[in-house]
Amino acid sequence: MLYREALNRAIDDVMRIDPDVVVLGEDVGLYGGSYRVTEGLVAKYGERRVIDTPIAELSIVGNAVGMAIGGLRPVAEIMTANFSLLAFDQIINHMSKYRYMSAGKITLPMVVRFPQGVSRQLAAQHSESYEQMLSAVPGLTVFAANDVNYAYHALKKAVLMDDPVIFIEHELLYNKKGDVDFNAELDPFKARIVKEGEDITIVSYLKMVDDVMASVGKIEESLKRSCEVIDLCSLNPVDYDTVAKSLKKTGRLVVVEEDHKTGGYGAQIVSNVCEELFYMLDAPPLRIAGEDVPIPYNRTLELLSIPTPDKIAEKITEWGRRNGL
Amino acid sequence: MDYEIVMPQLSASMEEGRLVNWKVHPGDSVKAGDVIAEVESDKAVMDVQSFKDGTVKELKVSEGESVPVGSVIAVLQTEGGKEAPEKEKKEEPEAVHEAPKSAPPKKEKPRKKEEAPESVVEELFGGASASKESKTGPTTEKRAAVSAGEASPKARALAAGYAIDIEALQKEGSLPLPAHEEDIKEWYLRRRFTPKALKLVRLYALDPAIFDKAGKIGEEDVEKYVKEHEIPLPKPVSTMKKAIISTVEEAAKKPVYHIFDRIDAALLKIYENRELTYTVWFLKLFAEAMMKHEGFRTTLKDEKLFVWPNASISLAIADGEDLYAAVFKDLNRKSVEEISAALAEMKRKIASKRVRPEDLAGSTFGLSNLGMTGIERFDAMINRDDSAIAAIGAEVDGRISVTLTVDHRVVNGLQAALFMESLKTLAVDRRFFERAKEGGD
Repeated sequence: MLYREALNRAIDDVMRIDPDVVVLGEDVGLYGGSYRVTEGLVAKYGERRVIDTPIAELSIVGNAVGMAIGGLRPVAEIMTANFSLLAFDQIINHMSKYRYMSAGKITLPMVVRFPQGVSRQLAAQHSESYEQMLSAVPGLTVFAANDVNYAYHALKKAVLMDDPVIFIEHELLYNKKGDVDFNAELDPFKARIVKEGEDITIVSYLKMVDDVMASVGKIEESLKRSCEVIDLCSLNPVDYDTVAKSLKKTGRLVVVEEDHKTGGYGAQIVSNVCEELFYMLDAPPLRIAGEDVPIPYNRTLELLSIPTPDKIAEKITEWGRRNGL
Repeated sequence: MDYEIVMPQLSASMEEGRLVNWKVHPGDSVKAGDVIAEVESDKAVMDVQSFKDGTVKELKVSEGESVPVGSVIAVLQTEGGKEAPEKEKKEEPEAVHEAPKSAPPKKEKPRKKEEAPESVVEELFGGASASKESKTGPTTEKRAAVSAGEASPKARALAAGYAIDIEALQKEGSLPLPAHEEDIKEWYLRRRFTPKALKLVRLYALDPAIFDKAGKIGEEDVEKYVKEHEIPLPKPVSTMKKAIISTVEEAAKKPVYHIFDRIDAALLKIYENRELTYTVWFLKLFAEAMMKHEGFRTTLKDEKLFVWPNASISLAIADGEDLYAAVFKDLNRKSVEEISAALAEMKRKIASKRVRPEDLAGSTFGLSNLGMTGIERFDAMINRDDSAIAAIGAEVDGRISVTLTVDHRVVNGLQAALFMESLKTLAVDRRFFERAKEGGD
């Protein structure tokens, strides 16, 4: 099953069991979604539950907030993360705060889906990652799906949860293949150990997990050490227990993210580990992140601006050699 | 130009190989075709050749180490491209020679080079700081970045527990800069244990913390502990052993049944001699019977059956802990003398660990002879792709026991019984023995 099919199936499954679930966004209905995630849903559930909206992000999230207050379970799609900036007032001032402002009387069971990241030559205004901003907003739960199985279960749980969830997807993952265990009981807040290892803990999320996995063979061969790879899955809250357990074993942390390095999301992970697990560290933590530049359009420059499997392998190997590995 | 030599895939099932020994050293020049190393695959020890001329630049794998197929094991410097390093090496010593008065050749030089930075480090620690930066150039810059006392948080925490003064040890050069957890552990172990004791601790994979004796722990302390606590010696599993384990596990999955009978040994006894042993005669006898019963020349693969035109038998040959299923091909076309020669040759190959993958493939039937050890009767496990195996026991009262283990998917009980009948008939047929001496078919 493809990643996008898993997301489609998750929405389909919750729409079938809960008539309060509605989908809204640009081109989610007749067109089936820019990345075909909502394909076929309008035919099944009709235009009252699968709503094509105008190109107006603020109103998409605003309407979703209203629907949630009114008792529905809206699933809003932002076509690409960059456009979400127009909706940030609704996301930060309303979506995240209503439950608090109403002393818990109003719940907002809603999800906003965020396709993001560097795809292929979509240039600076269509390539951003905003997990760092979204995770910094108290009141929002942030999930980031790398794994196909996780995508299905986490999106389903997100829709059925009574709190607002930002569900981040990566534009290059939609055609990723994977198996979904429909009977599994998956906890979307729990980090996923993609590969077990003994000497280096590599923490990542979204597409970078796949790039890390593609680089691990090289790293292990050149350093003659083994890597443990963790997919964070939930970016807020973070499953620090899983990270700590791994670090107790390895003593060495690497965080890989596509996001720009300055103010990037990985800084939070490193900071937390240094605060809480300082005496477990046997090497300075390493951050591998995107360059501090708007993402270039030119393909060569575009690849130079973000981590790639080769760069990840090179940087971790070099860092390992410098630090006693 | 650098040319990388990788761990070759020597058989279809080989995933990793163990480097048995290097035949070359860094700096040696090699020609294409030269053997540079011996590698143990899942089946045998084989030679690795170089495909290019060049100089050995680096050996990346140490002897005894196992690495996956395709990983780089050595780097050759080939002709063309960068010849510079070669030249530099030659010119450098001459240039340096001028400085030391009595110029002892080459060897002195690298040592000199190593000493230099060390003294610089001492200077730095001694407080002289980086006053002489210009002279020592880039090396100082690198070293200056870390000063004595630098260690990872984990190393520090560990050192505190052991009451180790990191800074002092780094100044005297006993700990590297910066120090990591492993360095502290290593240093501590060296202080606590004698080298021989430490070797034993590692051999038995013991936790060093279990020894609470004050003072240095010696070999005898570890030996005593091992005996008192009945600690088993962990034994590394050789690639060959791994292969045997997987083959036997595979064999155990086959749906088999057994057929048991005895054959008359009178003629075998007459014809058997130093050259033409029971094993040789049995190879020929079974080959002859196999030609009459195609089920025993049949293999099953991916739900398809294949009938092979000739009789090829895999013979179990043990060499210490190793066990080979050595294949003797087309036995129906060979005389017993030829078979005897082939058997001797195979044993030589096994003794010198020169067995090739093709020596272990292509059979349809197996033979295991424990008769010479006096075992009267036993049953064997079917080899890899074979459909049956015969277990041959010792001669008792003029008769020899034969137990067939048969894969029921390929050969049914009646076919097996008829095969056994043919064997028994051939064993008492003088014409078979005469014909076998002359040649095959």
